[in-house]
Formats: sequence, structure tokens, C-alpha cells
Amino acid sequence: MSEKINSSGMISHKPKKKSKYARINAILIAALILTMVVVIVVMTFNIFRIGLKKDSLGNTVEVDKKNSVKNELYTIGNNPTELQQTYFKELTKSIEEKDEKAISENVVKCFVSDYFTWTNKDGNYEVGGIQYIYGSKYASFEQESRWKFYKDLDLYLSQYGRENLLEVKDVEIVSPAVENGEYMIFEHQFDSYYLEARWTYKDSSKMDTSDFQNEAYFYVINNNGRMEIAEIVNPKS
Amino acid sequence: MEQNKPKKKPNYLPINILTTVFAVLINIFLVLIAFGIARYSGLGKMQFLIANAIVLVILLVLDIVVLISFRSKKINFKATLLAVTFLLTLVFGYGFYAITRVNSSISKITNASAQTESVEASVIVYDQNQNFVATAINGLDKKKVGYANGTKQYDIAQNEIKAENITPEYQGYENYTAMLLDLFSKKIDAAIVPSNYATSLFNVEESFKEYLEDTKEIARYDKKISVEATASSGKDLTKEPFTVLLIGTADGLSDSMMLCSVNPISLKVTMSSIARDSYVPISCYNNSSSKLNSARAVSRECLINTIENLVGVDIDYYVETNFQGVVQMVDALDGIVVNNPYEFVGQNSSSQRGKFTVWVPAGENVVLNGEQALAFARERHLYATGDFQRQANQQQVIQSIIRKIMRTRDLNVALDVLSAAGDNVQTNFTLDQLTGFFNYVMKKASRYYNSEHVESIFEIAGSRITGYSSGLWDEGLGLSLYIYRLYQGSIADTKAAILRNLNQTTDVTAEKFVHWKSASEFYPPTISHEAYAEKIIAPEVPTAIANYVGNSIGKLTSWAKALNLQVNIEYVAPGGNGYDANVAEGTVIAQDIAPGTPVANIGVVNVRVITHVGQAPTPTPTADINTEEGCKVLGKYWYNNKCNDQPQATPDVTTQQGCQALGKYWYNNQCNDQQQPATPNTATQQGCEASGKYWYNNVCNDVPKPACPNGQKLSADGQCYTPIPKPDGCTGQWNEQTGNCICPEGQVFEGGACKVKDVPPAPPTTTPNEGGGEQPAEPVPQG
Repeated sequence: MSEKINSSGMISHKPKKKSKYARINAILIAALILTMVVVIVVMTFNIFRIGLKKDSLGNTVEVDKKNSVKNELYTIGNNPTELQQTYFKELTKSIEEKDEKAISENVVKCFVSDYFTWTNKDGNYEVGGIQYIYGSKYASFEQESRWKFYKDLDLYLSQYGRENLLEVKDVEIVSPAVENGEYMIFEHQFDSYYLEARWTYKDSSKMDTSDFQNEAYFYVINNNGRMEIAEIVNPKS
Repeated sequence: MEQNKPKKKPNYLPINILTTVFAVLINIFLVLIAFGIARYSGLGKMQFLIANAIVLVILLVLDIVVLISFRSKKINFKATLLAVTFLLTLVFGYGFYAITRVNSSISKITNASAQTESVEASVIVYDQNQNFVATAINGLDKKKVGYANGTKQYDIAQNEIKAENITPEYQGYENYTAMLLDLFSKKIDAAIVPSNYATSLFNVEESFKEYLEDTKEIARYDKKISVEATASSGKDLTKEPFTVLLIGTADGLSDSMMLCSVNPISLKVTMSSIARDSYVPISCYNNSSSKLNSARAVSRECLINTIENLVGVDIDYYVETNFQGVVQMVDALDGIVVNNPYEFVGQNSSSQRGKFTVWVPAGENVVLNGEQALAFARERHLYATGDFQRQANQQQVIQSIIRKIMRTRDLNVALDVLSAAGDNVQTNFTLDQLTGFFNYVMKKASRYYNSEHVESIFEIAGSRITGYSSGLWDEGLGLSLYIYRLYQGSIADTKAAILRNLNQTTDVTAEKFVHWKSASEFYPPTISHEAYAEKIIAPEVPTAIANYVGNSIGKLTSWAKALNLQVNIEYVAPGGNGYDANVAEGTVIAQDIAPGTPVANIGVVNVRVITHVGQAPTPTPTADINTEEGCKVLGKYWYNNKCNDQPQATPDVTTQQGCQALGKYWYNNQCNDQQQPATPNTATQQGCEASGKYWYNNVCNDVPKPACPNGQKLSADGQCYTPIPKPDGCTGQWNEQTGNCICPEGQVFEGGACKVKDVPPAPPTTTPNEGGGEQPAEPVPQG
């Protein structure tokens, strides 16, 4: 026990407890500091462990959010080419002008430039131009495309490389949209337009683009104010 | 002098201690959580790195705050800190528990290292009169005991028997079926089988069921042994196509098998079901043929190798589940949606044969719970196509489960599904592969147009390897064993479809054009056909009748039923001629057809059978061979309006007659499963378009409506013309193509206008001359 002289001159004794408390506090502080050190070491190790882990993310084309645009009726396709962006702007303008014939033609141009372009497609599942197809049948159209035109896109990607695949260079409306009267889809009637389009592909060093379709007739219907493609006719079939 | 009592200082030590303890616990829990979830970093590496850094900072800040609190005298601050650390301890404690639970489930599913499997073996004996050669294991000393080669049951039983100093004479068999046949025909005295033999082996062969009641188990051994898990192929699932074998097991047998291939670039999945009764070379039976589902009774490895050899493709991974797994996963997902054409009551997951305890509703998009989904996947008796409809139903259930999982956003549901899977699912996918693939698919899904149905990102082509029913005949026992023979063409087509999905160097064959109508329906092509023009191997039939005297009448009737022969039974009751009280109930004491008589020469078999129960039943009457019913009762074959001794030859599906004989439809020079669609009426627009033609100008046309240059129109006869404007003068009908005007009645179109027709002046009439002018003289008669 340590002794102390107080203000009145009496000798007092410092309690034993105080040193005991101090000791315990010191132990607690030491435990906390030790815990902090262990946490720093362990978490740093964990961060390195995760960081050094090999990624296996395959090849996925990142979505080009910068050029992802939409108007009141349609949304442009993923990773649009410059041509698609141009046609989409024309489409937006014709919607603002409420010109159905012009909308029909621009819908076809947007569809062709998206569907027949593969350089911006990630895989067979990404069928282009779906948004321009008659709404009730777009799932069926997608499925049919995956079994037909898009069936071997995985082989094209693997064997030729994405940059060497089809890309539409230009779409020309050969025969402007004319009113086609009523178009029947089962028991439903729609006002419709008929038009013909022709397009060209960019040259490819790996593929013979002349083998691929470059013209078609289209029937475009007015589905509650939204122009949608109801039929695509290949004149050579 | 008064002394002031010193103020008592508050004791902060207990608070400091508690706060420190909680802080340390928080550190421990968070570090363990961070470690525990690091294995899922494949789901998002950057996110995990950031999360770890944040955890580190949080812990350091917490620890520093606690340290500072030691020096603080403010009781409020200390109390608040204590409360906060206490709550955080509870929160992170629960988090640690949840992660541990998830990791435990995942580890159970994906544990690639050795697993422990519980194996039960039984030794059984058989005697139709229940006079067993042994009633306990020690009775088998020096007796013949059969076993199936390569089975764990034999390893276990043999060791246990040897430990009891019993030395039987072991006889190996290629498969359980051959072994049981010899047991029933007394060629061996006992057999080593899986302990669930009653529900497994005796269900592999339906005809074995009648022997079950005369079978006795005399020993049972239960052991846990280490099983090497089948190694995975180590492929990068996000870049390389791979194959997966889906196995649904029941009582140690593979009840359903689907061989799938997955292409991560096209996201196409082929799913090919293989019938469990397929009669194929079994790899662990030295490639001798048996039913496919018996391969799993030996080992999973045997099943995988057998299917690899059968189809000719390597199997990279497997996923195996039992009945309970299906029930629990579906219940965790709160049910799945299927299309069920028939309402029925089916079996539940407890496999209590004969106890139909689950009602399955019918309908489109009907929701089924776990037991209902399992019953739906197992039901086959309701359908005309039996096991094959069941395969289609199983594929529907699997696709529905995948769809539900991909749409799940509720963490609790995900945990429940994982927990269910952990107890019942096994696979050799590694966790890194699964998380990597999941992350990869989610990235693809972010590009998919149909965000509400993300599961549609996969194009799943379901099919089955087809074949035909057949039979094997065991002469000794007079048993017909059902088998399903596969078409080689179906195996080849399935293999081709899988290889196309796996091989990225295949030649391109896709169409290079688009021709599509919204009014048309698209049906994906089938991978495999229902029938192939191959030689059909007829079921084995017995060549002659055996001697059934002294045997159970059940054996004779079973044999006769397999051959469509009639059996006339005369029961000999007490007091009847030939009655013997010492002979077992139902024993044949006489048969009129001599053993060895060729089956072709037999119409009816007449036998006398002992019965100890009161009066003998009325003997069955003889049938009239000249009627169809009588012919069939006599076990013969009615076709071409007469009774024939031989069965009608199997129709040739490649001919019209054969096709129609099989109940199919002959058109387009081939045999079709579906009826030829009705010829549409092309006089209507709908019918015109349904027949693939073009409706315009109110008629059906063979060619599409031609486009006319700008400013021109299309005429009724399909010609383009420049319309001629209608002149103002045309007050009638104007033909803008020809430029003709049909004026109103009484008018003509002249000079560009409709005019009233001019009435021409009346022709002049002949009258007498009245003063002028020479008039023609009338002729004077001459006389």
C-alpha cells in the first residue's frame, strides 16, 4: 500500500483496487490492439486472395449505355451501330411528325440494320430488331430466328470473330410504303402498309456477305398506334 | 476539524469489459463472415473486394472507438457504446450462422473429395413352399451364395460373413437379374442384395414381384464406406460447351436419366431422356446387356460410363437428386407451374406402393406443390405412351424449377432451396464453376430483351431416345422380362444433336434469309423421331411348355399370359379326386399338355390345382375359335378376320400400309405422327394465308403482291399502271386504268365529256307528186 499525506496532514493509503482496475484495463486495451492487428492481417490476406482469384467470365459484350436511347414507342437495340443510331433518330423524328408511312419505312430500316447485323451481338440469344416485330408474336419470332437465321451465330463467332461478321452498311427503301388495306392476323384486323427494302453489308475478310439476304418485302401494321412488322417476304424464296 | 468524504468514483470496469468482449466478438464474426463468403467472389469480384475493404475499415473504427471509450468518463457514451456493440454482436452472430448454414449446404452438394456413403447389404433365401435352405446366416456354410460383380454390397457382406467364420461357396454374376433368376430356380441357395431389394430389385423386373412373398432376409449389414466422387472435367463453363447427366434416383436405382449439353455461347441446351428400362450394354457388367437403371445399383460411375458408351459422348458433370430433393426444392420455391392434361391421384414420396395419396389437378399453368410435382414426374400408367410421357413431364418439372430459381429474388427462398438441395443433391460441379456460370448467365441476362422471362434466355430442346418394347424369356422360370430396345437411329440423332452443341468447329448450315409471317406457327424440329426404319428384334418367346406339375399355378398363368394362351383351371377341393392335404394351396397337380410341346401347337392348357378352401371354383369354359373374342381367349391372334396361330408381323413404318397399321398418318410420302392438317379454303383470306399464299385484290394469289413504282397502282390482273385522272366531263363511272368513262344511260362519252345521245333524223318516206317534180311512173300493166 502506498502512503500519501493529505491536506490536513494525515497519512492516507491508495486503494489496492485502483492498480487492479488499471491492470485489467490494460489487458482489455492489449486485447483490442491485438484484435486490430489480427483483423488487419487476416482481412488483407482475404482481399489479396479474392483479388488474385482467376476470373472466368467468358466473353460478354458490355452494354453500351451511352448510346442506349429510346423514344415514346421504341428502344434502340444493344450496342447500336452508327447506322442504327441514325435510323433510330429518323424514326423518332417521324413519330414526332406523326407520319405513319415514314414511321413504317423507318421501322423497317431500324429492323434491318439491327436484325442483319451481327458485329454487335453477344450470342445467338440476342436476336436483333425484336422490338419492331408484331408484339404478340415476337417471342415466337425470336425462337424461330434462333433455330434458323441465328442458329449458327456461335459457330460464326468462334470461327470468324465478331468483328468479321455481318454488318448492314445501308438500307434503301426501294418501294415506298403504300397503304395495303386491312391485314388479318387470325381474327384480328390491322391497317397496314406494304413496302420493299434493299440493303448492303460491309465487306468482310472472312465471310462472303453476298450469300446473305439483301432484300425483302415488308408488311407493317398499325397495332394500336405502334407500327410493327407483321410479315417479311424473301422475294427469292 | 471535519474531514470531507471523498466522492465515490463510478466503476467503469464492468462496462469496459463487456464492451471489449462484444467488440472482439464482432471482429471475429465479421472476419469469419468475410472469409466464409469469399468462396462466392466469383459472383462479383470487384464488389467483394470493396465489401472486404469496408469491413476492414468498419472494424478498425469500431476498435478505436472502444479504445477511446476507456478514457471517457461519460456514462451515456459508454452505455450507448455498450448497447450498440451488444446489438451488433447479435446481428453479426446471426449472419455468421446463416453463412455457415449456406456453406454447409453448398459443401454437401459440391464436395469433390471423398464422401461417406451408407451401404446396406442383405442376404436373402427363396423357397416357394417356405422351406428355406437356411433361416440364419450360419446355415449358409458350404452353401452356394450368389453376388453381383463389382457391387459394394458383396464387399460388405463377404467381410461380415467371414468374420463370423462362415465359408459359403460364392458365385459371381454379371448383374442382379441373372443372380435372382438362379436363386428362384434353386441353382444357388442364397443371394447378396441391397437391403432395399423389395422396392428396388424386385421393381426392376415386374415379374419378380410374385416371388417376393416367398423370399426371406436372413442377414442384414449396414456400413459406412468412403466413396470417391466422380471427378469433374475442370472445364471453364463460361467458355466451353459441356455435358451434364441429370439423375433422379429412387431406392438406389436411377429412376430417370437425362443427358444434357449446354453451349455457353448460344445458350442452347439439349435435354435427352433415356428410358430406365433401356436394354443396353452395362459397362461394369463386362458390357453384357441389362436394364439401364440397374447400372446405378452398382455405382454412379457405372451408370455414367454406360451412358457414355451408349451415346458416344463424354459426360463432364452429373447432378443427382432423390425424391425428397424434388419435393423439398419445389416446396421451398412455393410450387411450380406446369401444364397437366389429366387429373389423377398418384404416389407420394414415401414410395408406399399401392398407397395413392397425392391428388394432382389438371389444367394449363396449374401450380403444383412438392409432392404433387413429384407425383406428376413419376406418373406413367395414366398415359397411353407410359414412360415416355413421364419423361416429357420430368423435363417440364426441371424447366419449371429452373425458371422459378432464375426469377427468385427472396434471400430466404434461396436459402431454403440451398438447404433442400444440400440434403438431397450431389454433383461434381465445383462451387467456383457454379458461381462463375451463374454470374456469366446474369451478365447475359442483362442484355436480353425479355427481362421478365430471363429463363427464356436458354433455348431448351427436349427429346428422348426412342425405341420399342420387347421381352426376354427365361426358359427355366417361364418368365418374360420386359425390356426396351433403343433405335440405333435415335441414338445417332441424339449424339449428332449433342455434338453440334458441343463442337464449335462444325460446318455452318443455318439459313441465310428470313421469310416469316406472324399468322404462322413455328414448331422447333425434333431431335429424334418416334420410329425408325430398322429391323425390329421380336420379343423372345418360349419354344415349349415346361412341366408345371408341383409348381404354383401363378407361374403357369404368368407364362401363359405372356403368350396369350388360355389356361383352364380345375380346382381340386377337399374330398375331390386327387386331393392331397399335404400339398400347398394353388399347386398344380396335373397338366394335360406334355412338357416340351412346342408353344405353336398349344391352344389351351388344362390343369388341376389343389385348393384347401371349401368348394372348388367353377372351371373356366372353352372359347369359340371362330370369334375374335374366343380367338383371343385361346391365346391366338385375330387378324384378317380369322384366328391365326402366329402374331401379325410388325408393320413396316416406311410403307403406307405399315404406317396406317401403326395408327399413324401417311402423307407427303412419309409416315407422320400427326394428322395431315385440313386443306385451307383459299377463297377466304384466312384460308389463303394459312396455305402460305397471298391475299390481295380480294383473291388468293400464288405470288406476293408486287410493288409498283411510285405513282403507279396495281390492277386487278396484277399489272402496274399509271392512273389516268378522271376528267370533269365524265359524270359516270371512270376507269382510271383504260381511260374509259361509262356515262349514265342515254349518254355517250365524246370529246372528254358525257353527252346526251343525238337522235338521228327519221329517214324520208315515199308520197304522190303534187305539182312539180318528176315522179317516178308507176308501171303500166301490158295487156
